[in-house]
Amino acid sequence: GRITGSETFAIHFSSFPSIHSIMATTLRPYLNAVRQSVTAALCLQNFASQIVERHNKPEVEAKTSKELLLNPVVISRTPKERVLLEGSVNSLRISIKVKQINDIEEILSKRFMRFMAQRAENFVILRRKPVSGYDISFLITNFHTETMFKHKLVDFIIQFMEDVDKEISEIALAVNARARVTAQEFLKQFV
Amino acid sequence: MADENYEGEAPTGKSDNDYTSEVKDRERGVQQKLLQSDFAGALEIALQDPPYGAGQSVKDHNAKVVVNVLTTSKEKDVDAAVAKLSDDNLDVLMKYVYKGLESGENSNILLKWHESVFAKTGLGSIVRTLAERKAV
Repeated sequence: GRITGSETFAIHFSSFPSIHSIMATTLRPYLNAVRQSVTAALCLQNFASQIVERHNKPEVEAKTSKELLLNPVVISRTPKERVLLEGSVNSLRISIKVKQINDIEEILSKRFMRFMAQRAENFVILRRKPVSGYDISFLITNFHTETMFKHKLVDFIIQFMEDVDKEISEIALAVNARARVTAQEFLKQFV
Repeated sequence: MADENYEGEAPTGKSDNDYTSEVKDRERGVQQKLLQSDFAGALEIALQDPPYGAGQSVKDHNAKVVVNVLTTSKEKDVDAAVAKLSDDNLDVLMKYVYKGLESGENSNILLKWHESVFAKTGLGSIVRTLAERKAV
């Protein structure tokens, strides 16, 4: 028989891969590349400040001498989702730009990241302020790698990236669902 | 003053113009190979003599040529091409993969290249990308 209007709509829609499945094709390789790069950059050793005696500063933050810094490296999955790795002899700064596909997710990720950054002391490796252009930053120093397992630190970073993406998508869905229910209830009085 | 020789390479005496003409030749050679669908050949030409001492615009131009080869290849060509490269070229390739990943375009295929080179060289090529003064 003839295909009705609503069926063409359904066929049309189902033939496009969802935006999340397009994204999903690069997630594993992206996280693997980040994992390998972080592992390579996490070779840290104690290095006292060359400028001020008896001081020990994370060189990636102080940037006192060029010979102590590694080349910064950016790994992006999309122009809006990337990771910046800045290494040095005694510290590594990892800055993450979280995936945000619409306004709701932008607001949510900003709040979420700020919530965590304010509790940076308890987090140990978190930086209080994200590097400009990114949503959240980690600062790992040689002291951290001396007390914690390197491979566990890397696992943590990768797990963090996955979990944050998942959480934000979930919260965005919940917000939309609640908004729909509220609007329905509200508009019932006008029916 | 110290910064100029700081890069750790002897100044080769090549001017930016020499570099630019090299890059243009490379571009033409690469395009020829790509027309013949010879990816491994195109890659070899593209990775030769990276312009370490040149100005930023020349480096960007060269990077565009190399990343073009990387992004126009298909996933099945990647492993074959990587298998044929020498160790030095693999390091150079890794540097260009990271350069390409900066923009966020075509990340799919670039991440495949990353994986393939990593499988062959391990963490070494990544460490060299991070630590070598000679940056592409």
